[in-house]
Amino acid sequence: MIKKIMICLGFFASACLQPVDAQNANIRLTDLNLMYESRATPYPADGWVETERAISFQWPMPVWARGTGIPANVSVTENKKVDKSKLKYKLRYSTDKDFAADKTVTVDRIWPFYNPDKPLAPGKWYWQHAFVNEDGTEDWSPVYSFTVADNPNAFTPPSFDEFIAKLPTTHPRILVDAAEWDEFIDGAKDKIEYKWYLEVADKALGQPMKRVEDIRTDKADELKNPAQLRAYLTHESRRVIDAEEKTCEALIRSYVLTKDRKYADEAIKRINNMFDWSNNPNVQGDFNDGTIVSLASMAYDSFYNILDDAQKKRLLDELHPRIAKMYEHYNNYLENHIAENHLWQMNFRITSMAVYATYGDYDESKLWADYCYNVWLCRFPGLNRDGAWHNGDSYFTVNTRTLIEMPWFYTHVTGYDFFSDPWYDRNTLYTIYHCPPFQSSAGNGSQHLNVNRPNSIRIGYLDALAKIRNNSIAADFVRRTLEKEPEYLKKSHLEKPGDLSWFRLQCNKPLPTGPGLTALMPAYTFPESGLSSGCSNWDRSGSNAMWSFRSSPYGSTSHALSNQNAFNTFYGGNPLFYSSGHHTSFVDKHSVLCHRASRAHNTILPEGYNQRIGVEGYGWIPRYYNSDKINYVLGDASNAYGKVVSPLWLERGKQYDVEFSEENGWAENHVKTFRRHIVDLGGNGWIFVYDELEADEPLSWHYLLHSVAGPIEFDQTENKDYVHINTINRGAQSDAFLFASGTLDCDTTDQFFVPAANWLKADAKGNFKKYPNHHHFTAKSEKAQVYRFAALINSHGVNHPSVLPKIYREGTIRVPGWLIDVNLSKDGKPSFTVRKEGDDEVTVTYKGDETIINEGGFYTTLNDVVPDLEI
Amino acid sequence: MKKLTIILIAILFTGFVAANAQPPRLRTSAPAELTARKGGKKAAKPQNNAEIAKTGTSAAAPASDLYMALKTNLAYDAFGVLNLAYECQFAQHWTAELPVAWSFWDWSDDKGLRVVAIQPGVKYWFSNPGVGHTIGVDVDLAWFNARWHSKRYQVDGRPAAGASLTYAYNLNLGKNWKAEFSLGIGYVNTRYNTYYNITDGAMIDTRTKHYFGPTRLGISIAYSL
Repeated sequence: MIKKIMICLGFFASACLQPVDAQNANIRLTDLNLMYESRATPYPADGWVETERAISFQWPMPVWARGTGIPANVSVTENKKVDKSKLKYKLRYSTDKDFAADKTVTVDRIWPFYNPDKPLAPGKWYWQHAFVNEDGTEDWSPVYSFTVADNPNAFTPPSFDEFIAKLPTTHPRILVDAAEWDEFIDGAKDKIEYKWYLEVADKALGQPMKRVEDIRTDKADELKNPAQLRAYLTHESRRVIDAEEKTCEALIRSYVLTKDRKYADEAIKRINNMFDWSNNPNVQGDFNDGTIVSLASMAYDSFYNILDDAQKKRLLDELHPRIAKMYEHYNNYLENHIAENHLWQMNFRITSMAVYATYGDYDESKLWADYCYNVWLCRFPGLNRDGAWHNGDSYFTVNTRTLIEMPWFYTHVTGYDFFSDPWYDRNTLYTIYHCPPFQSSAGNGSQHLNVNRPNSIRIGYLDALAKIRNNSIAADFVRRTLEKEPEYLKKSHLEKPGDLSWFRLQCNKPLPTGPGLTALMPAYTFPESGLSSGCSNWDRSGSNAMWSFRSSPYGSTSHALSNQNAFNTFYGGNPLFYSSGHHTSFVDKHSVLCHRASRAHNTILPEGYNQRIGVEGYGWIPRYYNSDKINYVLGDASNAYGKVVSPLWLERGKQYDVEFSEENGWAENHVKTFRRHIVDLGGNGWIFVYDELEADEPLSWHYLLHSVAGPIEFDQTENKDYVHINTINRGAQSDAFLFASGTLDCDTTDQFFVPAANWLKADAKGNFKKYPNHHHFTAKSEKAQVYRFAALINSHGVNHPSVLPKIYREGTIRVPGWLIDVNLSKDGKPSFTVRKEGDDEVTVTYKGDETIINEGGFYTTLNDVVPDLEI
Repeated sequence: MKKLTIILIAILFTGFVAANAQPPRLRTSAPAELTARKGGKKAAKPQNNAEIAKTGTSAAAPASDLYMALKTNLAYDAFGVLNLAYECQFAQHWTAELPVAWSFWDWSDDKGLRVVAIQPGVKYWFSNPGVGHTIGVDVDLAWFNARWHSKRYQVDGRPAAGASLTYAYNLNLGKNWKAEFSLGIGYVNTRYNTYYNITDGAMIDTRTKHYFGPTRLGISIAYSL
């Protein structure tokens, strides 16, 4: 009996020890990278549970065939050469793990993806893929399993065969369906956009077209670096070609709106001239091919009924090699690339529309159409699920036409609502939270400085989403903007990547009414993209205190910056402590070392060294809690630091003479832990930022704050417990009260590490606008293996100066309405408690393990959760 | 027995009152079961802001409730002892449970178990109720009449009574379904009569038994309400 009892007790004790093991609360990732430039993981991953959309099988290509991305501004032909005719795959999927023949589907593929024609039945499935070698042997992957949840509302768009069977065989079919043409004109006549198009077209009728000779080359002689020269010519040629494209677009669309042949004749004349531009050596960049394909295919489709055979043949002959080149470039590359910017933004849409406009005219039509449609289904629209745009706030809007026009077209042809993809509702939230009404953008992604309020494209996008998705919150955003500036949407008329004027002519739905922005919670987190932000006041933009934060699995590739665990602060729409530096070019010394690099952002540098450039310099968001009364986010940038190892970025550096050297801020990593907690204190303008830092040897820790407007001032004398740092932008101010484990050596400068020289972006007169300097604050610690910072930051109006934190004898810090206990010592576990004063029961407690949030007696225990990632 | 019933009713009433507090509207990385009211109730399920954006309406915070579950122990069912247990949360890490088991039929001519048993108890959950590992104590009461070959055994006036220490592990099976594996050990005191196992068989003797050992073996399927 005693033996029996002992066995039972032993079993009992061992079992009980497992669940309460507190170290489970913290996950320490060891992966070199979480995301990949080119897909390295299968999708659906082993164990995946699909709850909201049709399964799309995607798998990695052989390593030798994987594209690494086109080095910036290098022509397509210089990209890695791969004989794509040798790429052949097999896929099989089954409800039987042994792949019994009667339960298994096997398909041969020439692309590394496959969308089943019909949605898979709910239940457990098994799949594997193979690469077929030239000798016919097959290299099979392991068997993966996944589960399809039973969700009758899942997003399950029709198959390619269904789509193509419904594609009209008449012309026009892209800008308008021939069968609805007259009705469309009648509906459009009374809309303001109708007049906008005709204004531009009528003006163009009397003006000469742009000339390729207008491309200025006078600066080119000063540029000795070949990559810089190409970038300069690309920018210059786009300045000229984009302007002519606008004119031709207006002419083509005016013809569709009026059926007046004068517009068509003028457009054809201009487009024929443009065909020869490609032979000019000064015309550089893949966007220009996109322009020709866009205009020629639109002209072919729109003017089909009035073109003679010779004109049609000319257009088809000009289009064919260009579309063929695009397909050859895209296939077995685009679908597996993390985010091929130019293709994603515009060129893939242009190619797709050209393929559908000419469907049936080429031998390859079906192949191309199959590819375009199915790539959309497997990767688009968002490249992830949480709805955020990982490339940041500025480059998001260059995808606007693609995000609306493609699904609008597919919806129109098939009758299936492509906007019911859950991504669209989530993306609406991203669009709102990361650039609220009349506010600067949240400060992520290169060139974010250009977004000092939601631009006309962004408002047009929200207008479209509001109408399509019947979203009254987005509608409220649009109304607030248009009330102040009724003609605001005209600012983006004929803007190449983002004008939705044509959509508004096509869509007759009104802006919906219903709950507005105030129905939203103050803050929102996008864990896959690694973004979080919060507002204090949705109603009064002039007194809105805002913060944003990034710690992203995407790292710093594409347009994403190297700003893991960096925050930004705002008041009244004005950026205060904000990411700095200029997007002088996609790659040059300033843009990489002073805008992309971590030294430009409000984060922490160990020994002054930057986070890695590339997907290897990643962060992530293990925990978040967003509610009406308290908001909390935890970022982990423990894996972000070290030497740059990305082959793509090392190559780019070589091309542009940018060294990722120790002198420039990259060195062997010694950071073991960098976790940054942010608590928004109930939307009163205060945030609490707590940093836990640990290294494998003593390091000095550099705490950075930046301003792109007013200077940064600091005071170490007013209180021995903290450094008071502040900056002002117009009538807005942020005060940071920085506490640390030891004494800080503080300094400010208004000089960049490398000056911001404008060698790229000239206006029509050849003038290069100068970039202003920014302001940078650094608080440097003594060397320590373990270190902790805590900052209380108040963003407010200059007219209402910040209250100073009060420090009680026992170490408690008080700011208005809140009490904070924090362990700043290098000893003991990192910990803090943030507690609201008064009857409203709100606390955030962290003692080195889980975070516990008490809101009105409801306790939430937050342990680390690794988000699901897309590629 | 009467006191125990009063205690259980009081616990359930306390939980009911707690359940009426308004939970916060929230989105969090934490699984829904890791939000609970101190002294009772689960918080709102994470608010789907995408849903807000889609409909333009801020969905009212969903009604919340205590962790409550109905369970049946398949191990008992397999022996023809039907059973049902009701479990209800009454504090952040605590639940009260009332399993009732009964069997009113024989297995064969000379074998059978007729029993009514209850095992009311409380459990402490290391995570949140309904999740992972738990330990508990319970009171065991059983009225039995069992036949086995030549003998029949029947409680003598008072039920078999005892107390147990129980360990259990809950495995989430998706949606509202869970599996619970439990093992209890404890002490049971019973006074019973032994009869010849024939119709109107004569009583052989009366004995008192002090049992110390396994008192519960559970392989249960639970449905959380």
